[in-house]
Amino acid sequence: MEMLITPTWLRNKIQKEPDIDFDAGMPVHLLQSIDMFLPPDVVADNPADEQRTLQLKHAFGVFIRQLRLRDSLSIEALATTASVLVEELEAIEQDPHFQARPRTVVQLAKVFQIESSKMMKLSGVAHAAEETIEEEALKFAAKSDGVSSLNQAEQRLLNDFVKLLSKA
Amino acid sequence: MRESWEFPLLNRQTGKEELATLYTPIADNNVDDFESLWQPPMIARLATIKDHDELQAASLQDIYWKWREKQQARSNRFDWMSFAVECGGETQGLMFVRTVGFARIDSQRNLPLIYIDLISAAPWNRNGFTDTPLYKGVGPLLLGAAISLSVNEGLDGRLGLHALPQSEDWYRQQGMTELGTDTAHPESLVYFEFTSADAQAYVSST
Repeated sequence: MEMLITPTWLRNKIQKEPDIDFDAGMPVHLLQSIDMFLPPDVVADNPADEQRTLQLKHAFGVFIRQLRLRDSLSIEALATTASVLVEELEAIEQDPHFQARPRTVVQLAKVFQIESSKMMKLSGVAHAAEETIEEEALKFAAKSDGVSSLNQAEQRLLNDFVKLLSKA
Repeated sequence: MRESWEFPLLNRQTGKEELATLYTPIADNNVDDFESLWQPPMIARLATIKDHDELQAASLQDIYWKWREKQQARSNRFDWMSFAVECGGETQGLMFVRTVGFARIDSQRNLPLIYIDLISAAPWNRNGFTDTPLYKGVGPLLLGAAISLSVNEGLDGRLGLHALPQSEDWYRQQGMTELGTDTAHPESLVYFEFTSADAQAYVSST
């Protein structure tokens, strides 16, 4: 095989190379040892668990929609900011059967400045072991019904829930 | 037959160059290094990690990659090739590529390309793993080798890969075209591709 690069070429690249890692192609879902990326569907062993997972995913969709409305973002604008697909955001907000992908959840957590591990559990990407968050998420979703804008009560509920996620 | 080329890497601790060797294909000693040198510090670090934020920052996603099985399963196959970078008596970087991928950028859509299945640096060379990474240059060396392979295979330098989230910026800065999140990928990673022109400019640039 003819190598097209030379030692001089590499020396120049090294001078300009940013201090960023270059790993590509790894299956991140293998890290189940710390309960990450382990879908509740896998660990749920009875219909009640499945129902609860569905409720949590619904709560996650409501939560994302409320955060988006709070920040006056269209779905398209949020998709661009978070570098995720519009179709996936629509599914997250509207379809409780939809399972968000780990990267999407992490990107949304970054945009809304929520700790990504909490978002993972809310979204159903990771197994939720924290009862408090689950209970409060379900309460939050039950009381929130904003479609196009947030009223004062919904704004307050959202703020309280974000605070809870920060503390929990 | 195993081929090899010599290149300099920068030892960041000493500020001096050290002679490294790029090999194709990877050999048993490279897999041994992964299991005996790379994995133990990664496993030790994993034990201290509590959540996804820390994990992503620490660049540990390849901790359970099955290099030995992949090496055995893919050896003597024409559709897989592998590369290893050795320096200081240890393996500093590893890469598996598939020689039968297909391009997605409109200007070269469906033309064959080299797909990088996995590219990885030893944990002590990773910015996310340690505050004092050792060798610099493993990334461009492996990427340059993949482009060389693409040209040698008659694929004009075309190259594709799925980057991990913490590495997306690196590929942007190398001049690869970002095609957005790939919904077909199991982890929904962002797909990057080198056009023939951009790849050849990359290996020609000084």
